[in-house]
Amino acid sequence: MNINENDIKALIDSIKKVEDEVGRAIIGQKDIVRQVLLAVLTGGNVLLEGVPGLGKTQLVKTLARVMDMSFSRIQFTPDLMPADVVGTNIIVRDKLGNSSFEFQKGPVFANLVLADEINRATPKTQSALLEAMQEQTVTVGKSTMKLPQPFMVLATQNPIEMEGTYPLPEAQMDRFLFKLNVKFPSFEELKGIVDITTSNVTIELNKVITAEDILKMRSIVREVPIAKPVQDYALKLVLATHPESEEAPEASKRYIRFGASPRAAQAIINTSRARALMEGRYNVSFEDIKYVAYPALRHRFFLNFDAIADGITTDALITELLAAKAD
Amino acid sequence: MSNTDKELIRILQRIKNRLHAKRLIDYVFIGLAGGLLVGCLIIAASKFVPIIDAYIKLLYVLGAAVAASAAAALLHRPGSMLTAAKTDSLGLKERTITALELIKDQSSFARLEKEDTLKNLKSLDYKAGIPLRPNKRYAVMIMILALVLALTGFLPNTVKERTAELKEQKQKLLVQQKKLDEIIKQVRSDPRLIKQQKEELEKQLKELKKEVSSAKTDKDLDKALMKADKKLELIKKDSEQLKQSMDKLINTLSKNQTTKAMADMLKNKDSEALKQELKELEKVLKDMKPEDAKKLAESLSELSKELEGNPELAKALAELSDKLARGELGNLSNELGQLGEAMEKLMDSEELRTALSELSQQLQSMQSGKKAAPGQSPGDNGHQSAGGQGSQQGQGQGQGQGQQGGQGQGTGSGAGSGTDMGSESPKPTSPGSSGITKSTPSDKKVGEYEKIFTSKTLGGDGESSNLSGQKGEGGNTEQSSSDKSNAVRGEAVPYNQVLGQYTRSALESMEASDIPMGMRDLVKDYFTSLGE
Repeated sequence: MNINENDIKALIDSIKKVEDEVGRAIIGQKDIVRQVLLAVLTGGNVLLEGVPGLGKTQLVKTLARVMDMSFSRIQFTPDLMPADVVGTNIIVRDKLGNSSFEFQKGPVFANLVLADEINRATPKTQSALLEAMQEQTVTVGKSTMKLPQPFMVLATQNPIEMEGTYPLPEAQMDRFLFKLNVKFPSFEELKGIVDITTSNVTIELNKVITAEDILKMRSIVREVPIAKPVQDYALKLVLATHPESEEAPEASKRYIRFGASPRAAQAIINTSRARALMEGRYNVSFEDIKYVAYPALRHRFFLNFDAIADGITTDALITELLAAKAD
Repeated sequence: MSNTDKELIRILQRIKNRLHAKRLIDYVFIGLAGGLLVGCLIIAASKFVPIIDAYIKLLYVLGAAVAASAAAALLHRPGSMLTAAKTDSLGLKERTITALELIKDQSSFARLEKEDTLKNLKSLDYKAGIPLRPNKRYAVMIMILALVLALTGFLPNTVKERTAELKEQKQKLLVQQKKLDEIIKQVRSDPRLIKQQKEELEKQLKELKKEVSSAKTDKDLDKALMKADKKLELIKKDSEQLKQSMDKLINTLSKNQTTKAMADMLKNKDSEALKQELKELEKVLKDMKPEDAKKLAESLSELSKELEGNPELAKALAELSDKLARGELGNLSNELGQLGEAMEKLMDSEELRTALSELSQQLQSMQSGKKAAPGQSPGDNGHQSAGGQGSQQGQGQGQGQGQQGGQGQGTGSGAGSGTDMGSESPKPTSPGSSGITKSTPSDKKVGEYEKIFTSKTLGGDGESSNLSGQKGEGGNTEQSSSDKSNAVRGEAVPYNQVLGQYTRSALESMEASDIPMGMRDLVKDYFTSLGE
């Protein structure tokens, strides 16, 4: 693809406009918005973890509106079936009275899919999303259908109500580009939320970019130069999550059970490129790597019993790994 | 390369120079800190262990550390990547390092990135980011070390006197080394010596210099000098043997009218004339009467038998004598040529002997002020005088003048007492040095222990024999023998075989006598030194 300098500069402007526009509807959560946008720009799925009422659904809806993308929401429950997600063949009768099967698309056929409380559905239903998330296709019977582009899944899960839930298996977790911890808003942010949602004021959101723009942006993002030392830092960081690796620091050897997959390295490099552009830079810096390391790694390595016993969190461990590899 | 690339490189070059200057300052400070640390240790150690010129050493260490660190900094110029990384650390967020990788890349992103980097570099105050002043940490470290060094200076010096002694000793050694250098120079330029002789002497002197350099005490120095003197003495002895051969040759040649001129030339060491004379002699011998030739042959044959110590000359003479005896006077050029060569060697040896004597004197002068040189001790005179034939029992008595003040005439009874065999040349103890000195050079081979005469009546009642000798070759020998010539004889054995027995005997004897403790140590040290 031939990229000219104007395209690059236009992209930077567009992202900024999207960010500003989303910021009008979503009070606070700037980092969450930015990280979701990073996932949009790199074509990844996002797992949002947070207690109910923090505006997760609102965020996804807003994004869909600002970016002029189709949106569908699936509320995951224990009785939700795979067909409810991907769609199913139903018998239809034509004017002549002949019956035939016709595929009825499920809610997954949208640009933005909100899988709400994904951990409440059975593994069977959860896995129905696997193909869609990774291959961006859906197979029903013998037919495989492509999902609309751009496609991304934003799943949410509640960290506190674990009873009657089905925690996502590691393989499925790895398919999420980012795992974002949605924090409770600060006093100022809460005040803003209350002011907007408890009045008659309605915010009219503008469509800033289109789905086609996003596809173009994705190809531009992949061209952002990254210096060798910066890339090496990202790769060493991923290797550092493997306790058996020579690169692993002491903390990693002590607290990590399984390290991150190569998808983690891909995620860090791709999203750090997007982050550089969002920062108005044309190169990736160490700071970009550090910024994206938390959402890209926190769901990709698993702590052992010692870590849990010592009260070590994944984020704390990532901080330590970042510092260890910064030398 | 685009203009942006060139501009980027130009700015980076400036930053690199700045970094290099900063590195130089830092390295010098690190070197200084290291030097001060070592200096503190030296100064602290010098308070308990004798270290000569500790403060001068400190200065050397500091100088060397600073020079080495400065040299290392000058050689260790920062690389481009390091410069870029350092520049990025000033807030450029890896722009420079990326730009450096993108030099010559003309893609849209590369152009934008490099322009962005250039813009940021131009607005960057890198001089503020890379200040040309020492790192605070190093400066503090240096101040602390300087303080420690100053405090170390106040520590009481427990080895002040010992250090002063060592310093004096070192200075002496330096003087001796200088002297040796001068001697080596003299040997090199001595026209009297041939190349091989010079090489041999230089080798010996260099060995001596090495030993002198490693000498720690006066004793070591004297040992080294004595050792060298002994080696020179051996060479000298060989040359003396050659001289004797020459004397005999001159004597024999001067008896015959035909060869008298040759004897004179040998005397005058005129080698050119000698060669000429040998050619003339060939012609003369051709026309010589058979009876004269026979006479000459006889005298030459006799001489060749006497010159067993010089096989080369003896052989040349024997061959010439054979031919003369057989009346083969036609072609004697070969025999005369051999004789000429042997004669030249004799003349060379004369020169060597003179040079060695001078050299020996020079070496002895290096020892002067400490003790008499072994070759000059009166014991030697006694030794020379006692070289008679016959077997005697008794005490050796040496007489003569020692060089050490206050040690004059004395009777060398003691270790030398016992049965004397004239032919074994026992050496009476030298009155010049506490009644006991190591024996003078003998004919022992290298690696062989010197042989000494062991009495069968060690510490017993040996029969007495009085020998008196005088210094100089022409000294008279007086012997008075006892009438009991069938006394128990001893034998000459390497001294290491009897050293243990003698040591034990001396220690036992000491235990049984009232000898001051200081003197006991002296005796013990003496026997210990013999075993070394």
